[in-house]
Amino acid sequence: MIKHWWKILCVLILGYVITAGFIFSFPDLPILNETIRNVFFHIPMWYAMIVCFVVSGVFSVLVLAKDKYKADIQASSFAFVGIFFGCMGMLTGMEWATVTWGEPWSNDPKQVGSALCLLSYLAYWVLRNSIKDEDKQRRVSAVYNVFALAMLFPLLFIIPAHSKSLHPGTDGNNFQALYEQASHLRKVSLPAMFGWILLATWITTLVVRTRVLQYLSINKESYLFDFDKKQP
Amino acid sequence: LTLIKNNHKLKHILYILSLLLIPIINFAQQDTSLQKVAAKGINELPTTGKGILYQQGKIYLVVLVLLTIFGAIIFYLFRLEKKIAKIEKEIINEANNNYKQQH
Repeated sequence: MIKHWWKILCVLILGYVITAGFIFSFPDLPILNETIRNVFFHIPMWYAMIVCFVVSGVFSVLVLAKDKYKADIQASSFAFVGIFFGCMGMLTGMEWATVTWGEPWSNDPKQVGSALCLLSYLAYWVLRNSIKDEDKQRRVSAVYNVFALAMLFPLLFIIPAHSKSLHPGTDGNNFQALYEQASHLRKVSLPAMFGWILLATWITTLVVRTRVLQYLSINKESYLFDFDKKQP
Repeated sequence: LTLIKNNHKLKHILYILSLLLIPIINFAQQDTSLQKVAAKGINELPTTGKGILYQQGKIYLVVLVLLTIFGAIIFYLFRLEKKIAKIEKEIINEANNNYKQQH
């Protein structure tokens, strides 16, 4: 149980976020009204996605530097869960935009940027699954992943910050919304961020473990005793 | 007092006796509510048997629904974790044995 403390922390935080996010009363802004509560559910999806992609990139660098099998599984699993959370962020964002901005897609720079970012990671997934040779698959997808990570921050933060957008915090200061929101809102929105990131990490660890098992059961004779180390 | 401290049976008996005080406290509360009835009339009192879930707006019910779904998902995740741990044990042991036999 002690090993799982961060999972329990994640459950507690998200339980608090769900409860407090609906029960607390927040400033009634024009247009937004009660939908301000989406801040605790829509935005953390993107933070979870970003964390997943960054960690995935780090593991991909490890794949290139040390040629580890397990790092490849970790990198691709993090990318996969990142894509999942990105899709969730996209869908919830479109639902929110339909009601507040009048249409699901308004070619907002941040929308376009995040769509491009998601597409580049979907391309990673397609590229990876199209290569049959395991050695090649590992290396090519790792190289691609590093490039995709290089495009992540320009697409999500830098380019939208230099253009007019419906999203808050896009006139130069990306995290303006976080600094300037009501303190009551921040009491829930900050824990929400960490809670959802923890949940994404938890799901990824499960994915990694099943895929390691899959690998072990297929390659029974292939000395997986030191699976974590460099392969001969 | 030292007699009470050392004697465990006596301690238990005292605890049980202290439980008997609870109905007395209840009686005291009923008294005040009766006074309220006298002051306001029975129809103006809030009805009993309806808790936090029935309050105006009923947002607490939505919270309950969300927490139920969330709880079920978390339960599933923990179960998955247990299952994976079990299979991990089997397969990794097998792999280790294979490795030892080969070398």
